[in-house]
Amino acid sequence: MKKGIKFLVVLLSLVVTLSGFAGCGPKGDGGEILFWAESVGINPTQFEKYVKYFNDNNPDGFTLKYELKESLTGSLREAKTAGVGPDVVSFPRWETATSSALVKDLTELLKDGDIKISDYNAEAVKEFTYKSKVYGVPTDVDAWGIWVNQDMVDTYNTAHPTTPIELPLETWAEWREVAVKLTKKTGSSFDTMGFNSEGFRGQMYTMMQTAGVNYVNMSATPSTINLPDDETNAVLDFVHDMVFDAGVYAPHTDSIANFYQGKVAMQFGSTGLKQEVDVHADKTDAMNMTFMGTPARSASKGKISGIIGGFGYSIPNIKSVETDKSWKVIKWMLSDPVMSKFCELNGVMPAKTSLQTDALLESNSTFMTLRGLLPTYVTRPAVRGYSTMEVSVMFGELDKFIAGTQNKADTIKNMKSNANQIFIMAQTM
Amino acid sequence: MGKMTLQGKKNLLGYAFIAPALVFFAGFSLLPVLLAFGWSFTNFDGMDQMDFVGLKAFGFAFKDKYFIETFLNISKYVIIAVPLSIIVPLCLAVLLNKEIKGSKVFRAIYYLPGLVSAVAASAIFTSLLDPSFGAVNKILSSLGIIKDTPIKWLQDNRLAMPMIALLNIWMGAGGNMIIYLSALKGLPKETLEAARIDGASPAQSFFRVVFPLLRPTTFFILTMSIIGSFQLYDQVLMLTNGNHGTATPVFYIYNMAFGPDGFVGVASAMAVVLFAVIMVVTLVTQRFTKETY
Repeated sequence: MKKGIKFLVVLLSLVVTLSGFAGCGPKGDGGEILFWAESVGINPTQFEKYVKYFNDNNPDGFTLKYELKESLTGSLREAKTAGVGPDVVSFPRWETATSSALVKDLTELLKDGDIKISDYNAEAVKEFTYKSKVYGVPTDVDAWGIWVNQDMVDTYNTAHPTTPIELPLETWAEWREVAVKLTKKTGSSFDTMGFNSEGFRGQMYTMMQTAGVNYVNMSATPSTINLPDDETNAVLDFVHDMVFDAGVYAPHTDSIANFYQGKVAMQFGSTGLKQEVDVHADKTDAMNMTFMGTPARSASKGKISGIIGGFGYSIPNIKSVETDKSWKVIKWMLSDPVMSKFCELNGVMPAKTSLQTDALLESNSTFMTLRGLLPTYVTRPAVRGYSTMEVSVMFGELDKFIAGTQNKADTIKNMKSNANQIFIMAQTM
Repeated sequence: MGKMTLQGKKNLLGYAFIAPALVFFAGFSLLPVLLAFGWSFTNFDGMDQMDFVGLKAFGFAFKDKYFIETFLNISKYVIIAVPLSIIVPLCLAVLLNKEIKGSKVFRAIYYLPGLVSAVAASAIFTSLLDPSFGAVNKILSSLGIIKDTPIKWLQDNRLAMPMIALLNIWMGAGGNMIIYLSALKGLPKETLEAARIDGASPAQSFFRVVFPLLRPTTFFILTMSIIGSFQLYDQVLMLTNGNHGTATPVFYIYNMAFGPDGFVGVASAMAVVLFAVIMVVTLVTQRFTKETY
């Protein structure tokens, strides 16, 4: 009897120990892949589905573990200092010029021929290229423009059958007119804001593009700001007009929340805004939204334009990261079926042009609009100092102008001198 | 080896007691200060680039109009917050110094805001001061004080900094009140008694006797408030994100160092400038206070 009990105890211990070991080890044979992405625009529920797809299908038995970071480059800086970090990251392409030291140069790896960089959207690849080196492979393409609450437009058109709103809007004048039509006020308080963009913060580049000017002269060393009088005056007049004369919006309103709550008719945002609104769909009535490019200054001046952006896979430039392993995973993640699944689950347009199929575009009207915009849309300037210049100079100067504490001439003068000062600092230090 | 004297043993024991604090001070205060000072002479980008550039980073710091503006912003804050962070706690302390029923409860209540994290307090203020949905505007509106246009407490250049000051006074008053209370308790009773016997009214007694006797405490609070003002960061981040004339030197320096471009060298030079400014202001305050009293 005693021997029997002893045997059972030993057997039980063995089972417990082995189960414990089984629980500690990796699920697949290939080990764990740590993947970092920025939390902006990512719906964790949808992303979990991709993780499951990855773990069920990747041929090397890798187990994907992901972490969402508020600022990917910020987290990568810390990881680089610590010498330990993720195997693969979804890198914000627009930060390549300033943060290329955080990720590995993939130019040599791309020569193995498995990934042809020319298969990807040229502007997206350009955004990932700094000083002739490629730092990642683009996964998706997004664009910044105007989202319209289609339900509000439909309601307006039903009430005004003889003067309906016709989308897309092509000029600033049409943009203003429709914003006025959709604005509803009680006294001076908004019931519905016709348009919102947080005081045009971050949209100076877009607005100058629509006026026909690229406002950073990148061929100069150091780069210089390009704010010609005619176009810059036109942009600032338009911004002022929308706030004060047309009275269609109040700057610094919590825009996204107000948009998905149906308090804003038109909202400046990226194509990714749809995912953000969908996250809140359970809290609000489902909203029909239509995306369009930012209208041109006029039919004869400027063009419908704006900024394209997006992310891509990169390998962190960190001691602990095994380049071969990371590259192997990236190549599989970029294979057509996996990439299609990634884009489908995350609701983004693939950067690989062969995946931008007619069937995909027909299934999603935003993608269809986006493809039409790509020829006139541009990436942000790939120069050091651009981000600081936008945040420190343009945001502040536009704020002062809109608040009425600074006149137009001083605003333009300050924009020019201070922006150039930042470029000098960034590129000559 | 000679035998250690009793004094030597005492000294060794003393060093052993302060060693943990010294290690922390050296690692987390002294070392970062020295590193920042060293980086201020480089073009360090927080990653790989770090070349000696002499005084170039200081040149950019002084040419940066927005950095200079942060000192003007903080001076607006100092003018509002520093006097009130002395007056409000002093008044509270004088009131609570009297042995009246419930004074301990009030003491605890006034101290409570100081225990709330700056982030949580800022989130509450943001919600209260929201122009469209905040309780403050709704109350003012129901009282008929606001007619049509809501007051943009945190979006108006004239109001944003006073609101940040108000939050900090609310949060810091309790702590300063405790300091004043303990100072009041320590005042020589015979002096106060002599003033009373000489016929001094309560007001005369306060302004002629009590307040002058609190001079060292007032100077301590004044100095700490000024230094704290120059280090203002989290409330600015939470309430206005540095917009509407509220960017402070620390806020700006942080963004320069940890923004996408990573101007750590220039940010370090700015930090050295800020250090010098705080030192000068403190010395001037010290001098002025000594001469006044």
